[in-house]
Formats: sequence, structure tokens, C-alpha cells
Amino acid sequence: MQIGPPGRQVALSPSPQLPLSLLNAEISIQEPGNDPTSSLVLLGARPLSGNEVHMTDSTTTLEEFANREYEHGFVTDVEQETFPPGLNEDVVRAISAKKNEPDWLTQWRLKAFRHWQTMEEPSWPKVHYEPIDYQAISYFAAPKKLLDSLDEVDPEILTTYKKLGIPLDEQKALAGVAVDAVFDSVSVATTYKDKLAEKGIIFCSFSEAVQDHPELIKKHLGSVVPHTDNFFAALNSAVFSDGSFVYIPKGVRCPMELSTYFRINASNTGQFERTLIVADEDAQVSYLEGCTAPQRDENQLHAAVVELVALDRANIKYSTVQNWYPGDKETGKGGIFNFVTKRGVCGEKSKISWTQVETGSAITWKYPSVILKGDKSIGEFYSVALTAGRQQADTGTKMVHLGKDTSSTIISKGISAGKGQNSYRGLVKVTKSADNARNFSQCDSMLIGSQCGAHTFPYIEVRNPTAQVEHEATTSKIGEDQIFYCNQRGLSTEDAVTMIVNGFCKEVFKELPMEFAVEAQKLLGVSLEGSVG
Amino acid sequence: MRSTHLFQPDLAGSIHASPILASLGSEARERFNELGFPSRRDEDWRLTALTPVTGHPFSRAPEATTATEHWTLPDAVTITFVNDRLVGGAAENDLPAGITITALSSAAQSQTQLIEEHLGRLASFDDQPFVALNTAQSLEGALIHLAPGAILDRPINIIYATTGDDVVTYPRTLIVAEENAKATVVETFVGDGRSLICPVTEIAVGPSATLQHTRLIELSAEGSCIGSVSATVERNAAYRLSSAGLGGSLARTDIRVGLNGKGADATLDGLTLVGGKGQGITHVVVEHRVPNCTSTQRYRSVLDDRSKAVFTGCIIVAEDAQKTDARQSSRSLLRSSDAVAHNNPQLEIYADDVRCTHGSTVGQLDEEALFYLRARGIDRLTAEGLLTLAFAAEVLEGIPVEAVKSRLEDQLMAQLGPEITR
Repeated sequence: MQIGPPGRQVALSPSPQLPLSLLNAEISIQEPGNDPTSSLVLLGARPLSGNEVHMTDSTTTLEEFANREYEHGFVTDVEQETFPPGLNEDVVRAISAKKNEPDWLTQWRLKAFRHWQTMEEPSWPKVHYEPIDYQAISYFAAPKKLLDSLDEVDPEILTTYKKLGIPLDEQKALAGVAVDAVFDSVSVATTYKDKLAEKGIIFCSFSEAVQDHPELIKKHLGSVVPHTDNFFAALNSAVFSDGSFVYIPKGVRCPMELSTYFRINASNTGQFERTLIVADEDAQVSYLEGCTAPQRDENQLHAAVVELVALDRANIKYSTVQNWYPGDKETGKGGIFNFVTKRGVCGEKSKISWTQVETGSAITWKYPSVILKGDKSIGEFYSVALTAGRQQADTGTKMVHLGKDTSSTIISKGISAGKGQNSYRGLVKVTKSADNARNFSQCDSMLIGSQCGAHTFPYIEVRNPTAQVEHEATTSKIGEDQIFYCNQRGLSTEDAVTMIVNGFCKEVFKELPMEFAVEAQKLLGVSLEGSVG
Repeated sequence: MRSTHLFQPDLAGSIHASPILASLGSEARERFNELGFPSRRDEDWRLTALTPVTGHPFSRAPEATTATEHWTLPDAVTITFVNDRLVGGAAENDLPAGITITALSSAAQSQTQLIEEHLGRLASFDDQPFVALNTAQSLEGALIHLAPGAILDRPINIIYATTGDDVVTYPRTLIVAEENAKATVVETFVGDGRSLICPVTEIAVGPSATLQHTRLIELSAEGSCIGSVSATVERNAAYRLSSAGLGGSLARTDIRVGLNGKGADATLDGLTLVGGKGQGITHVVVEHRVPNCTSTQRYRSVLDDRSKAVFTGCIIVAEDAQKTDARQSSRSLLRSSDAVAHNNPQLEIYADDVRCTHGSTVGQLDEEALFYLRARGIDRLTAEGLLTLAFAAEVLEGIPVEAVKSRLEDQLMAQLGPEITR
């Protein structure tokens, strides 16, 4: 088993914005690891313990990578501890007790739970699924025993990894990136903590933060997404298991990209992450989130909440590559339900940028939003959402302009293949106080095959005449002439489609940190497999 | 829920003499009783404040007279209704063969087959409460029938005037253009005082037929109009709608067009002018049901004072409607800092070989263009008026009847810039 195409060369550029060739981006490494800003670029290389160059060795196998991981003691023998299915106040209290939380947090959870009980599950998204029995879900799972070898991993998933050119290892330790890996619900490993601590940066699991930095949590938890916000956010507030917490102190520029890989490992366990990122005045941080999940036969509910707080002149970049199990290609059975609330608040002259590549999950329901509260603040949303098989996505963003001279950009690319249904739903709201607000939105959809659907539902609400709001949307298919052109030059139809789709998404991919961009491109190719022709 | 409303439509018993209308009416009455008035919890009505309608004890308009000369058109075949009563009919003898323009009440006796086939079939009252209300309550309206190949060069002018305070009218229009027929119809809804107009227009455009439809709504500051237009367009036929709404405290129009045959085309234009605390609301659904159809939507709104304009336009492309070409653009011009514009363009696409676009902008007049005019000695108010007129011109120019176009332009100029003269 080889990691990538044989003889693949990997080179590092000091700039994370390397020009990418659209297909089979070739990367070469020269010297990873020394420069923290550039060392993050690599897929799979993991220079935690020195400057070994792994990637140039094309014979390195997945097993070796996996073994290396275990050498570092990544395996924990913690037995899976799962609550019996069901949800009531006792369960909420038990979760809180399990995590040794202070009383105010227990009360906050209970308040959220009581409010959740009064709420109705939203029916407006353009997605269809069997009703979820919230009493049939178990609301707490400590990490279970990790697999002993790769043989225990579903072969189909291994094939996918292989196609992506990603060693399994890559999920857990990206080169030079501090990884706070969340397996099921409890963080089990955090790296690079010391280096970050030097700068005063706090990057830890949410539970640790509750113990070590209660004042920060108390101040910011629920400040962006209140516990009453929506059905799934309320549920999350009541039962959230774990997640990440990031605090960047005043004037600090985070020296590396922070990354958390969420994984759903235990069957029948909803995961309810809670992520809180606070960038103090003049601080800057780029955060990556990526997800994989092994094949399971039951729908797994995932209702996360992400809150971003960008104080004055701060800059937060949040990137997501989501490739959870999308369910069976024919029946749609077994995929992940991804109902996520993500929102950020901008202070004066600050900037929040969301970039997402959504290729997985049976159902995606997600609207990363920016509240442009401070004057001259900037919000950005770049999204690629791909639905193939029986996948359904209802995703988009909300840009709420409150401050003067605020601006926002929305670039959304939706790709539907197979029997996928893809909806863009977004709100651009310019309030009365937001003088000179600017928004530009572009939503492009691409259809591959005749049984899929692409839908656009932008909502534009303007209450200030000085605002300039523009929205454009187009829907198209891949032209036969384009495919013919590629065929004629010796590219297979499948490669041609992947290439054209990647070109279609280029505007979004260029916003991604380098290694995510590479992964995202391959992911699209793999996800589109079998949808063409 | 309905008990809190001051507007309680009198839904007791059948009001129709003709059995066809009576049975349709009772079906619709039942449906309205189930639906009730929409609330803001309904996604379709979330942005519509219905208080101007539900907050007044409207009752059926009594017989009255009012001057309608202002809306007559030179050389047109005119049919006039005041408070749901026919006051001036078409001079039937000048019409070419195959063209019928008559009141619905008399057509219910003489043209039963036509009525049965189309009335209440095009405008669905299943999910539209105000269509149900109209279908249950409507007593009068116009029927226009064009036999296969019938062509009328002169415009047909239907005037529905509503006069009085706290009165409601339910005008109903049915237009059936058979194969290869061609006509131009102008529908004008005029309301004075605190009145409510609740019109429904049903249109069937047959194969290769062409129908140009202009729909004008002119209301007093306290008047309201909640209407709907439902059209089906068959193979190679063309339906062209230009609507203009001026004033009113609430003017809402729901337009539903179904493209049923290959090569069908729908062109929908609309201009909304709102001021005061008025609401101008347009909901459009264009459904491409078969391959090779085209549709274009162009909607413009001009907002003054504390007004609100909502445009919700949905393009639905059915699963096998390949080679669809659908375009939509919506633009709002905010002339006041207290006005609110909502633009909700929507695409629902289930076919892959299609081209669908929508564009939407909201903004104010271009400062540079204003400066250009002012540098040439034009005062600010007039300059603003001129630029606003230019903004509206795109829709105005699409109006096929010259007299209507120039009347609207005059009206706009009077409203926008006192100094502008032709």
C-alpha cells in the first residue's frame, strides 16, 4: 500500500497559498518542520520528533504510519463508557457530573434542556429524513479502545484513504499542526501545547478549559449562540460532550494553524461538540476542522455548536473539510446527520472568514454566520458543498450587518450528482444602523446527472439605503464540449469531470490552507466517483 | 384564530345562482374555513403584515357609481365593473369572430362548458387562502375567450373599480386563448378610500397563442389589494405579463405560471412603488414542467418613507425539463432610510441540462449620476426623480399598450419630481 502516487514529490513553499494544479496536485517536500508556518502544509508527514522526511519515501506504508502513531502512545485503553439511551434532566446532570463541572455550568445545561423541551424540530430545511427519536440516542460516550491494527478498519474506508493519498495517521497528527483529536466525546491528546503556551495561547479541550479557565468560558459560552438559539443548538447546550477551546491573547498572532479532527467512532452515539474560539484584540488565528467517520449502519446525529468571538481588530479564519460517512450510495442508509450551528461575532475592524468543503454526511444542515457588530468589520463565507448518492445538503450563511462600513462576501459552490439534493440558503441582513454596508454574494450550482437537484434560497433584507447588496446565482451543467475537449487530450471522462469540478470550486479552494486544499480536491474526485457517465 | 380579526367574511350559504359556481363556491368556502387567514408563521406570509386586511370590518361593497374615465384607453374594448357589478359592457358587435368578452355571471349560463373546464382549475385554492376566499365570494368578473386563430388588434381593457370605506370586492377574470389566438389584455384595479380588493385572474394560453397581459393596481393610501394571477402556457405559446402597483397600504400579488408545453415562454415584469407605511409584495412561482421552455422575470421596486417591498421569486425546474432557460432579476431602490427591501430569489432545480440565473440588488441612487445631473444645473429632487424614472423605465418600456405606458410615466413623474416635464 502506497501513500500516494508512486514517487510523489513533496515540496514546501513558505507560502500556504501555493498555486495548485487542478488535478493530482503534485507536492514535494524539501525540509519540513523547521518553519512553523510552513510545516503545516504536509499531508501525513509528522515532524513531531525531528526532521525526518517521510513523504519522499514512496514505499512508506499505511501500517508503518499507524505503528508510528502507536509508538507515541496514542493508544489508550480506556473502555467505552456509554450512558444508556435516553434524555432527561438526570442525564444532563450526570453528563455534567461526569465532567466535574461547576454548578453554574450544570444549571446552564439544565436551562438549555428545559428550553429545548419547549422547542419544535425545524421543518423548513429542504431535507427529508426519518424522524429522530431523541430518546433512543445515548448522550455520553467516553473514548473506546482504539483498533489494534488497520485490519480492523473497514476495507472500503481504507480504499478511500488510499485514493485520497492520506495515511490514516494523517487524521490524528498533521505535520506541524497541533492536533486536539476528539474521539467520540473526550479529548485524548493535545499536542504542541507548550509551544502555544509560551505565547499565552490556550488551546485545549473544552472540558479542560472548564476546569482551568472557567472565567473565560463563563464569559463567552453562549455569548454568540445562546442556549435558546435553535432546536439543535439548545440540545447541544444541554448535552454537549466536549470540543475545543482556543484563546488568543491580545496582539498575538498564532504561530501555527490549529487543528482538531473530530471523529465519530461509537455507533449510536450522537456527538455534541462545543467549540469556542476567542481572539482578543489584535489577535489572529487560523483554525482547521476536519472530520472522518467509519461506516456505520445507523444514522448518527451530530449537533455541534461553534462560537467565534473576534474582538476589535482580531482575525479568525475557520476552515472545515467535512467528509463523514454519507450513507449507502443506493439507499442513503446509515449516513451522518450533520446539524450544526456555527456563528461568529466581529468587533471593530475585525474579520471572520468561514471556509467549508462539505462532501460527506447524509444530511447537512449548517449555516456558518457572521454578526458584523463592530464598525468596519468583515465577514466572509466560502463554501463548496457536494451531494452525491442520496445525500442532502441545506447549507449557506447569514451575514448580519450591524456596524457601519461593514462588508461581507459569500461565495458558494454547490455540486449535485447522483440523487443528491443541494440547497443554498442564506440571509444577508442590513440593519438600519449599518451605513455603507456592502455585500456580494455568488451562488453557483452544478448538476451532474439528471436525477439530482440544486436549489437556491437567498434571503436579502435591507433596511439602510446606503447599503449595496448584490446577489448572483447560476445553475449549469458540465458542457459536453468541455468533456470532449478533455477526452480529446487523453483524459478519461471521470478525470475530466473531476478537473472541471475542481476548476468550478477554485475560488473556494484558494481560501483553504494548503493541505486542506489538496485534500479537498482529491475528496471531490473520490466523492464524485461513479456519478459520471 | 379568526375570531380575533375584525374582517369576518360572510361565508354563510350559497350566493351563486348558477349551479357550477355554487358548487365551486361551496368547495372553496370549506377550504377557506379550514385555512383561515394566513399567519406570519406561514413561510409564504412571514413578511406580509396582514393588519390592513384583517384589522378592518370589511363588508361586501354595495352598489355604487364612480368615475372610471381616467382609466379608459383609446381604441380599446372596455368592460367596466364598479363594486363587483358590471356597469359598462363590451360592444360585442365590433368584435371579430371567435372573440367573446362578457361578464362571468352571464357566461355561467351561456358558456357552461368553458367555465366548467377552466374556472377554479387554474388558480388553486388548496394552498392559497385568498384564492379560496375569492372563489367562495366572487359574484362577478370578466370572461375573455379567444377561439382558435382569433386575433384582436385592439387592447381589451378590464376596469375593476372599488369605491367606499370598509368595503371589499372580489373581482374574477378568466382568460382563455385557444390555439394560435392573440390578444392584449389590460386589467386595472382601482380602489379609493379604505377598501380591500381581492382579485383572482386565471389565464390559459393555448398552443402557439400569444397573450400580452398588463395588470395595474392603483390604490389610495389606505387601500389594500391581495390578488393572484395563475397562468398555464402550452406548446410554443407566449405569455407576457407587465404589472405595476402604485400606492396602497398593502398590495400583494401572487403570480403562478406553469409552462406546460415545449417551447412555451413566459416573460414577467413588475414595478412596485410604495410610500408611506405601505407594503408592496410580489410572490412569483414559475414552474418549468417540460423541456425547452424559457422564462424571464424582471422586478423593480422603488421605496419611499417607511415602506416595505418584498420580492420572492421561485423558479422550479421539473425533473425532465431539460434545456430550460430561466432568468430572473430583482432590484430595489431605497429612497429613504426607513424603508425595507426584502429580495428572496429562489431556484429549485431537478434537471441537469438547464440554465437558470437570478440576480438581485438593493441600493440607493448612484451618487455620481446624481452629481452629473446636478453639475448641469438640475436640482437634487428633480435629478433623483429622473434617475428613479430611468430605474423604472426597464419595466415601463415593456408595457405593450402605449396609452398605459405614457399614463404611468406621467403619474410617476408627478410623484417623483415636480420639475420634470416631458
